[in-house]
Amino acid sequence: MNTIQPHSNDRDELVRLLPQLVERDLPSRRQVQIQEFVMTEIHTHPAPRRHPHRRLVLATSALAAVAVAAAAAVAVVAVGGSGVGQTPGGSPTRPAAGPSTPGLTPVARTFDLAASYAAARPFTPPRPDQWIYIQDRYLNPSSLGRAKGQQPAGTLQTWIRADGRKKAEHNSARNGALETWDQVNEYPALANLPTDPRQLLARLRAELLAPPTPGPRVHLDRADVNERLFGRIADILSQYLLPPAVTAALWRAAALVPGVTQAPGAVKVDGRPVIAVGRIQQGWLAEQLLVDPDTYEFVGYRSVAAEDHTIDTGGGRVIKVKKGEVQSVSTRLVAAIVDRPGLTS
Amino acid sequence: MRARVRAGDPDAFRQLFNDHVRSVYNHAFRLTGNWSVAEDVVSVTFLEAWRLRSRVDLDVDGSLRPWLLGVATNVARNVRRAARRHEGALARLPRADVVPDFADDVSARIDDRERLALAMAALAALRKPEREVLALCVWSGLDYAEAAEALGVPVGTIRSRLSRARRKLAAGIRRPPEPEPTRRPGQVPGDRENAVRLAQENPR
Repeated sequence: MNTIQPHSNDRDELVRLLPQLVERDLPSRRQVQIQEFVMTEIHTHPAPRRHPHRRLVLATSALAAVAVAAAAAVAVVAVGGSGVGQTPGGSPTRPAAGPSTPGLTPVARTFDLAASYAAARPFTPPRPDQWIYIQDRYLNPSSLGRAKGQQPAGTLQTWIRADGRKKAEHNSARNGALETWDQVNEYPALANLPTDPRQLLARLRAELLAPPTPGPRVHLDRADVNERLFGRIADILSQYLLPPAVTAALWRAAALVPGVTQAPGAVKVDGRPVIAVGRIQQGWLAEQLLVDPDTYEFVGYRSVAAEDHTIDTGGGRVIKVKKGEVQSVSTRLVAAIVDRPGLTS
Repeated sequence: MRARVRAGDPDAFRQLFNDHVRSVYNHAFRLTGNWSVAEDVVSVTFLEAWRLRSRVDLDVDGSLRPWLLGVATNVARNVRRAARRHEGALARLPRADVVPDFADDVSARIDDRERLALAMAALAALRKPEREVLALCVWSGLDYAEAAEALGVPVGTIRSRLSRARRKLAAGIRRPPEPEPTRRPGQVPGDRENAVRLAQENPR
């Protein structure tokens, strides 16, 4: 028997008020394309049950990599400490470069200086009811972006609540009205990440290999893991404003991911020179963290074709992406802790 | 099916795709207003569903459709950023030969087009959470409990959001509709009124 509920007719009323929509199917060939794409992607990472031994080998080699990285990290930290001038008040002077950091690869040196800059930022941890405000500018200049209907450029303002429970953004469909809704974010967990780069990397690696809830483990080969590890660190650095010690550890952990390289020479992004350090993903796409060449402050992220790349669109049609074609860029304009959504400082 | 998807059975996952791709595609369109973006949401939703499959609840019976629509809702909310996670993968996705667009539709579908334009205009007056619940309950046909499962919120929250959506829409629908931004050649002024009447006479 149905219980009488006070609002039980809202849905029926809405059905009456609103036009009924005719559903459409994906064009059949497109549906097959997308299905094959998804199935290929997930087959790259099948359930590991048939390969228990490979899993063990992977875990062991990951540990070995961490151990090697540990030695490197010690060297980096030691050199970095002397490489950055520090006034008694805690604000960094311009980091010394070149001769003071012998033996370090450009990548390790860049990320170490970025870590030193981050570590010296003033920071008061947010209360749970405060918000992290991030404003960034994005560019989607590629032909691929256009094909997907992405806006070529714009600014995005996002507020996430420090207790990890809410998010707010302006809704362009409602004349920019500010909207707040329940959506979990990772701020509380990320703010408590280990501040030791090795432990941090091990934690992120373990999370990639084991889902947060009980269930089958995902099998990833080492290249997959490193690819995702760098992408994950880039995501965290781009989307959050974390305690300086955690941010510094993230930079130093990024330097420990195998395969990370620094783009040679000056890179210009949105009119300003930056240092771009990153990793080739999927064999052709360089995913790069961007830092200011003078202060080593975080500037943003970009992805750029590292090789000529042809994307088969089926039916004999292809998109040719030229080496050097920028796919996407986001640059951080503001990152601040504020009392409520809508505030920017 | 739940157990097989959770266990990472690719055949079950293929079946899941076949069963629900249409629902996900249309739901994604209603949230984003762009069929091309809806295609990306479909792709990322199934990649995310695979990644998150260990969260499939085995204590619940029934279709995985509410869960998938919930994943799709999250993807659509963050379409720029969620796509970042899968950017490399999406770059490998073959591009559509023809980007679907209403302008390509034959004139026989003009009523559909008008209804859609009306619906999108109506939804624009809603807050994002209300719009999501409305899309799930009214157009995707989920009941309150299924919508609650999809969004991971209590049933009471679903009720109150729907209630607010109803009040706003009932108030808004009495106002004369705003002029359509892109009037197409050959469209006659009476179409909109006809579409409204049709929609109200045939709600189902």
